[in-house]
Amino acid sequence: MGSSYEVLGIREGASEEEIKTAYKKLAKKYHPDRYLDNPLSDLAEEKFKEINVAYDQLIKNNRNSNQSYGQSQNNNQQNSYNRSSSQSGNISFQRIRQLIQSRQFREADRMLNEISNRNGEWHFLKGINAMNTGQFQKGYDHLRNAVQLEPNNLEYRQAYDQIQRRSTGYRNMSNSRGYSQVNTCDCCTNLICADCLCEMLGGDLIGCC
Amino acid sequence: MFGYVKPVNDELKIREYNVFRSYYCGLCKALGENYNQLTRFGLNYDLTFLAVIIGSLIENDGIISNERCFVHPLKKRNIMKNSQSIDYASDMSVLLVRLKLKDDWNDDKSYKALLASIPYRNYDNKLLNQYPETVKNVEMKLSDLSKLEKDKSKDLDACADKFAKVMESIFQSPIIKDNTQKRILGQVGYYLGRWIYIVDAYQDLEADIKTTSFNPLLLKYYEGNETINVLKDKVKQEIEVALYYTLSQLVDCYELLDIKNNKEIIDNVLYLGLRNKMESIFSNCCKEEK
Repeated sequence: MGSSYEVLGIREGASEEEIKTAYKKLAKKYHPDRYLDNPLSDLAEEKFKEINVAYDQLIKNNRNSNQSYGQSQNNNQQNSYNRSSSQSGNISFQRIRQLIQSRQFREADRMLNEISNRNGEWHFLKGINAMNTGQFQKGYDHLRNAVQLEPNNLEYRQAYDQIQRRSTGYRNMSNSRGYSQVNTCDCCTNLICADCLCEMLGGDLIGCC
Repeated sequence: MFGYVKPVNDELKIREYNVFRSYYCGLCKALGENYNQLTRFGLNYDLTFLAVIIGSLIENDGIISNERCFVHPLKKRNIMKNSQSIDYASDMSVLLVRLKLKDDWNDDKSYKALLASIPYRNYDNKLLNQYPETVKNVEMKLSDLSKLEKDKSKDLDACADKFAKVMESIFQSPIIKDNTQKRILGQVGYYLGRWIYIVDAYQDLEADIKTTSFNPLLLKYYEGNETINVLKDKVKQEIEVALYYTLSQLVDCYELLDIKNNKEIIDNVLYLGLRNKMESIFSNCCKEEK
C-alpha cells in the first residue's frame, strides 16, 4: 500500500483544500452504500477504510479535528429488511427476510416459491433476492409489481427507486465524461464498415484508415 | 455475438487511439502467428478489450512496434508485440470460436459451421493443456446455455447468467497472479457478459422472428401479432433499466481494479462505448437499411 497521498491520488504536500476535495470524491465513489448489492462489497469497504485512514492521517498533520465520513447511512440500510418485518405479520415472510439478510439467497428463493399468496410483500422479497443474485431483470420486474400492488408502501417504493437511481447514475457518470450519442448509422460509418470488410478480405476501400 | 465492447473513437486522444489500434492489430497478428492465418477472421473488439484490460494490470505489457502486415501491405502500422495479454486473448478467441462452431454443428448439423471449424481443429489439446480450468468452465457453461435454448427457456436472467459465467472465466486470466485483482476482473467479465448477451438478443429480435430461432426476449415478450417496431419498443421499455443497472454494477467493480496503464481507454469503453453501442441499437436508426 502506498503513502496516504498516493491513496488519495494527490501530490505530496497538497493543501488541505486539495486533500478534502480528493477525499470527498473518493469517499463518494467507494462509499459502502454504493456497493450494497455488489458481490465485491468487501473490497469496496476495504478501499473505503483505506481512504478514511489516509484522510485522517493527512488532516491530523494539518489540524487535529475533522471527522471523516461515517458509515451510519450504511447501517441504516443494512437493517432495513429487518426493521419493517414486523408489519408483514407472516411468519414465513419474516423468516425469508432473515435469510436474505444473512445472504442465504437460495434457501430464501426456495421458501418464496412455496408461498402461494403472491402479494406485494412476496414480490418485494422475490425482487430483493433476485437483485442480490445478479438476476436484475427479474428483480426489477418483481419490485415493480410490488410497487403496483402496494403503491403506499415506502419500503417497496424505496427499493424500486434505488434501481432507477442506479440506472440513471450510470448515465450521469457517462454524461460527466462527455457522452453524446454518436449516430453510428451515418454515411461515414457505413463507409468505414465497408472499408473494414474490404480490409478483412485483403483489399482497402479508404486508403488512409 | 461479438463486437459490442469498443471505445468511442471520437473521444479518445490520438495517442490513446493509437495504443488501442496497436492492441487490435497486435491481436490480429498474434492469431496469425500463434495459430494460423484463417483464425484472423475471428478477430473482434470484445477480445481486444480483454487484452487491453488485462494488459492494464501488468507493468510493461508488450512494446509497440511499427510494422507492415500482409492485410495492409502499403502502410506500416503500430502493433503491440510480446504482450502476454494479447497472447492470452488470442488463445481465448480461438477457444470461443471453436466452441461456438462445435455447438452449431452439434445442434443444427450446420455444414457451414463444420467447414468454418476446420482452421480451429488442431488446437483443442493445446488449449486444454494450457488452460484446463478455463476450458472446462467455458464448455460447461456453454452446454448449460444450449440446454436452456433447447428447453426454450423464457428466463432471460438464467440465459444471460450462463453467458456471463463464460465471460467471467475468460476474464479471470491465469496470467494475473494477484487473487483480488483476478476476482474483480471476473466480476467485470460477468456483468459485461450479461450485458452482451441481452443486447445481442435484442439486436437479433427481428432476424430471430423470421428464422424462428431461440431468443429468450421473444419467448418472454412477443405475442405473435405486433409489428417489429412495436415489439422492439416494448422490449426496450422492459429491459432498459436493468441493463443500465448492469452497467452501473460493472463500472463500480471496475473502479476497484488497480489499473496501471491505459485507464483512459478503458474508461472510454466502459463509460461511453458500451452506452453508445446500446443506445444506437435501441434507437432504430438502422431500420431503413433493410
